[in-house]
Amino acid sequence: MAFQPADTATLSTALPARRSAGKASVLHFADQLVGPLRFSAQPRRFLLLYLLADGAAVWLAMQELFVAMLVVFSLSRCTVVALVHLAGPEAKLRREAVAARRPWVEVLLYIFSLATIVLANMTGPIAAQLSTFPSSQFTRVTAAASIDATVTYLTVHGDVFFRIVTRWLLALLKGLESVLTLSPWPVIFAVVGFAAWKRGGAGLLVLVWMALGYLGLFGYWSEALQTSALVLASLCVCVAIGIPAGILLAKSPASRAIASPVLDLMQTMPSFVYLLPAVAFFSIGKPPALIATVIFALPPLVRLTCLGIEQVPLHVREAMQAHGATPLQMLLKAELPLALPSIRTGINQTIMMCLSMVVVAALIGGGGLGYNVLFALQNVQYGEGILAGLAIVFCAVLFDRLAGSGRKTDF
Amino acid sequence: MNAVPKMQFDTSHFDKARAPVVSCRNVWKVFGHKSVVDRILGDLLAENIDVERARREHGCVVAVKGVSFDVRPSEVFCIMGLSGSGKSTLIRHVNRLIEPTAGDILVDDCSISALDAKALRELRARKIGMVFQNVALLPHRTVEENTYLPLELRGETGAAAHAAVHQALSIVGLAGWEDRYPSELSGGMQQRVGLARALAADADILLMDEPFSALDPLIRKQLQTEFRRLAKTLGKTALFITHDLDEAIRIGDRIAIMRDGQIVQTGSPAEIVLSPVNDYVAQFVEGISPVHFVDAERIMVPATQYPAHAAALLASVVPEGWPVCERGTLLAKLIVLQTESDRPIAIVDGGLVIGVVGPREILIAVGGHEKR
Ligand SMILES: Nc1ncnc2c1ncn2[C@@H]1O[C@H](COP(=O)(O)OP(=O)(O)O)[C@@H](O)[C@H]1O
Ligand SMILES: [Mg+2]
Repeated sequence: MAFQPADTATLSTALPARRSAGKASVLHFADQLVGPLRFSAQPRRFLLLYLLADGAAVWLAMQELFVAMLVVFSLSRCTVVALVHLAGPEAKLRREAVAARRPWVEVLLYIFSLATIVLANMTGPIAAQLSTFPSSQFTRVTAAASIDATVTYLTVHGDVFFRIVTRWLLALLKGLESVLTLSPWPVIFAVVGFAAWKRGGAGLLVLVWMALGYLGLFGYWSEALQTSALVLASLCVCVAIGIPAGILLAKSPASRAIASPVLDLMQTMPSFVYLLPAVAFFSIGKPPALIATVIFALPPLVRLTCLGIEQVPLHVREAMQAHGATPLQMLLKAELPLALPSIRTGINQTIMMCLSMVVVAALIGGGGLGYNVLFALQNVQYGEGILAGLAIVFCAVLFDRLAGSGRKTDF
Repeated sequence: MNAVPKMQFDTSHFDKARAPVVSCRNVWKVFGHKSVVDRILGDLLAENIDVERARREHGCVVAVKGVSFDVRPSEVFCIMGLSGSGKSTLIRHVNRLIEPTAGDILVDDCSISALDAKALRELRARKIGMVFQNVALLPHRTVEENTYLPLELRGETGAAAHAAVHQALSIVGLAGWEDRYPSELSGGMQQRVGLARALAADADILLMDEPFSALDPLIRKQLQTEFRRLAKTLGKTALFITHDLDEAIRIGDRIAIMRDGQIVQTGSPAEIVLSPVNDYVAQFVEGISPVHFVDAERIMVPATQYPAHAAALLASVVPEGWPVCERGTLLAKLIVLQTESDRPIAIVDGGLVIGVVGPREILIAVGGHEKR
């Protein structure tokens, strides 16, 4: 007796629930047809799909391709229905849609886009205005001129500074170059071979000697040494700037916010673009080539140093602090040692990127193997070009295997 | 139902002559955006906002909620609570790895929130050692170099420092392992290195944040026993965090039970097990056997309960055939005595009979109830 009311209660709640579920799915299908205009009941993740599909449909209609229009329209709806079903329980999506604020901005965006597409495809002055962006030659010319003026100004007034930098870079380069060129080739074979053998045994020794043998036999020896000197000098500058910068970035979120876009810029800006200013500042020769190489190759080292320090586990930091470490002790005794594998990877990446700049650097007097490639290209000598290219590859192999990230672990 | 009664800290059983080494005074810790925390702190202290509302409406986590306790010299003080109850947060206040939102922490009667960076480093390097659940050894250093770390950080080199390192390593039984790397050691051994590191610094106070929780039961038990012995022989004051009541009872002189950022009960193992203040604590102590830490004095009844012998007992004459015990005899021993004799046991202190333990008292105590 006592259980009866409870039973009917469960029944009466169960039935409407099922019915409303059925109605909901029909309603839902209607929502798909109407699209963004019924957004209150729509998850907004489909907005972009609707926008693209309906825009295309409207355009097709205006080209009087009505069948294609219908195909696009119905295909987009079917896709949404399929996606909704794949996404799992309808209830979840519905809850998501209801929880969201009524998306007026999205609806307005949808209507605006469709209306603009219609207008742009009609004839008349408005359509002309809409189909091309109102560009201004004047703005671009003045902007470029002001950059030119800045470069000129800096060239004239920063002369002393640039000359000092040039002198230091040249000293570094010449030092490295003379160390390399003054060593007789058997010494280089022996030293590099020994390093390879320590690192990777007989197999690596053979590989390294084959690479060196190619460079020597094909007459690229002195060019390879020049290129190596340039790469090593760039690496020195990169390490001197990159590791402290990486530490700074890891320590200060503010500097990270500033530096992150700058690093992106350094990596994505085509290097030819800053070759000319580099020449303007440092005149033609090896120093501007070195600077251009550093600009291109620095970012991975900074990023990986920063990453390595950030990845030091919290409990290690806590232990250091709990035993009374100063910030400097924390850096030297815990953070840098634990970041070392990451920093090594960064150095390896930087070397590889330096090598990939060899040809570009040769354009402004970097010399070395890059010049051989350039010369071959200018004189349409396929064979010479490929052989010189191979020489660069072998240099890269040597550097990668010897200075590389080190596959053995130290811990 | 938020019916955890606010535990008024009972100061009656304090040894007044010995000032506490570590003292927490109404410590609060609220995690969240600083401006929001500042805004709602007043309301939280005045109990206008509860923890749930602080989390839901203001996005703040109240991890420690008005905690006060004192740790006396050479005492092992355990804080026991489930995970998420705020134990780690609380213990990190003692060496100021975390700053309190409100309240004060005194070490040797000196407020540590007043210390500047240098004095704080001194305190951490010399006075307070810490051992972590996840050990937190430096992977690129050998056992010896890891143990040497606190001395190195405070600039001590030379023979004395190395002697201290070797002594600490031999105390924890790791002599001969100096040149191994942490990755070559088992979990238990790594934790011994962690302990040696804290001992090498020769700190008076040890903070132990669930040091044995990640270990196998057997190793854990062994380390617990060793730790207690060590702390007692070296006279260290220890604040020991655990989520395991068995461990707290085995190690602690006193135990504080923590729940949702509050301390619900503080007392000796016997007090906690025999008289839990509420159902929550009672749930924990259910099934804990009191035989190894409840003593005769706690369960004995006055001689007047045995009218036939009362007069003799009150005159400190033990009736014929009754076994005799000191007041500190553990329940386990009393049980053995009782099985060997059919008479009640007389409890004496300095030759005077102070009470009697009969089969009934023993059964009640084993059943886990306080005498009535
Ligand atoms: N840095 C933090 N920021 C925000 N909340 C935290 C932080 N540290 C701990 N908490 C929260 O405080 C509560 C207590 O955590 P904790 O002290 O680690 O508990 P226990 O050590 O007892 O497991 C938890 O709810 C946790 O989520
Ligand atoms: Mg914890």
